[in-house]
Amino acid sequence: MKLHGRRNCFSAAVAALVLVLCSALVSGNFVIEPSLNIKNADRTIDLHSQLTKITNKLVVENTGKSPVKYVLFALDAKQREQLSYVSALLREHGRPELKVKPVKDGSIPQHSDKIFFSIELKDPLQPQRSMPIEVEVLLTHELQPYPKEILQKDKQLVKYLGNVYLYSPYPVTKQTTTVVLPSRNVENYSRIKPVTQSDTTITYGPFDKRPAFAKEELMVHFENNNKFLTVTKLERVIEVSHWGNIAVEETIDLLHTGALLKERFCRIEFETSFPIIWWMETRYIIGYNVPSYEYLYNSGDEYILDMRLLDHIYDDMVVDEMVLKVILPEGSNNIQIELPYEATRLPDSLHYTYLDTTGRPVISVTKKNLVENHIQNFKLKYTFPKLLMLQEPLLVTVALYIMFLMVIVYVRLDFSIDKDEASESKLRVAGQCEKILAAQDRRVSSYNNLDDLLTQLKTNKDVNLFSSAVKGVNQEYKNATAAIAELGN
Amino acid sequence: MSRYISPINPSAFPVLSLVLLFIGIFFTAWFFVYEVTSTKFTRDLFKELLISLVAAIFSGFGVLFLMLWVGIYV
Repeated sequence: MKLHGRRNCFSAAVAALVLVLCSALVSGNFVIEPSLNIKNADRTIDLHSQLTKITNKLVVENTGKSPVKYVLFALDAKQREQLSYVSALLREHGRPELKVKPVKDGSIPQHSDKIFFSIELKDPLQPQRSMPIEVEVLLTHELQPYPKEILQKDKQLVKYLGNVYLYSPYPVTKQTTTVVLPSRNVENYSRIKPVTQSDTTITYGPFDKRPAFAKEELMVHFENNNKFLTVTKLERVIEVSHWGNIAVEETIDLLHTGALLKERFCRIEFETSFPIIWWMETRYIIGYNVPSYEYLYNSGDEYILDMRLLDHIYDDMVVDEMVLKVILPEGSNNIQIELPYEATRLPDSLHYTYLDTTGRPVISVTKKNLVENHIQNFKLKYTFPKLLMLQEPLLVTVALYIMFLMVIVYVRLDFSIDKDEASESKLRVAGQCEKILAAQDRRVSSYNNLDDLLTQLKTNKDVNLFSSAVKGVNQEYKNATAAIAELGN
Repeated sequence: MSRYISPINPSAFPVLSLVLLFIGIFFTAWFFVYEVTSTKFTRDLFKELLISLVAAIFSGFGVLFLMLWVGIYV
């Protein structure tokens, strides 16, 4: 095709622009599909522990004319700091897990004040059909102790603020919200009708049709005597040795994030009252060794380390910040890490320990706000030439040999200012005597050998064998005699 | 990909380190005795180098396995 003149150029530019826009739409941008509708939403807000566990059972309906590949799930941007984990599954036989991907900020116009997740459906949702899905959201630090300071004998009261409705990008036809509490003791809760309280649950709804992003504050003030304990910083160091060991060391900074104590702690009262953990802050290190065959795999010089990115510390834990460091053997290269979820990879560094020369490569990964759902495996691939394992013993050998060489040199150094002729000649004579003695010894042993050979000859009468053996003995004798003669000169 | 098995079974570390160190110490002792008893008129450089090399190799590997035995996984 030939392009002539301005007009053709212009149309080509427009075509290119359209192409670019189209590809941008396909690659990253998401839209809130107007044809989608939530037929029914059953929400359970579980406030048993220090975490907020929200289970959303949704029935998504496609009222449009074309199939839909993904469903968006939204959260208020104010919850960004608290948000820890989002997962989704299909509510059918086998409960297959659905892929959840965070949507880049600002990629949905006019909704920059919200956080979006796209849930990828395994099979597209066909028009006029509905699909039951379940979305689980975990948030941390949402329960605030109220009052902030209590006496040791007091019960711990906490306050929860949330949303009565599903914060959905799509309209919701029918919904109920159930709040599950750890005790019957509820100080106060929002009276948004219809509401019923029974035992340890408060149920809001069913509500009729609500628009997208419906919001109404839900407040529950209740007793929660569970531990409010946060790991403010966790450093997990994994050191791999190809001699058959993986060393794990976790440095844990713990902070009590429940209600504070008004007065001094009293031991006797502690025995009789609720065993809430009262310490404020502590740090401890836990280390252990595991055999390498449990987590390390290889084929030739290619290795894969398959281990937990985060490990269990205590039930319903909250980890504010975690740093994982993997120390590989010296000489490892081609390092690639596969993470089970998004985390920040820090720049690689070097670690020096016993018998290191160039340093061991360290791979570091960090992530904020983790919970038990983050206990998942990472895969670290690397190449390590097996022969390099000999480097460490050879290093010790060379060091020792250098020491021996220094001794050899040292004994040859003569620091005397004055040459003592008398002792010098004494030593020389002693040395000569030693050599003569050694030569004489050799002569004596050759006599003995000859004797032995003669006795042998007497018994077996083998002259050939005797004469050939005698040759050797004679040679030895001659050598010794020559050495003595040489010393005599 | 199969499970990684280390070239030397960790249960053999104690025996290995003891045997190698015993041999290494024997040659080291021989070397030092030789250095002390010989004079500059009787010394043999080749003999010294050979004994010390054997001593260094056995002690070197022995020390490594001793480290692994006590838990310093290098």
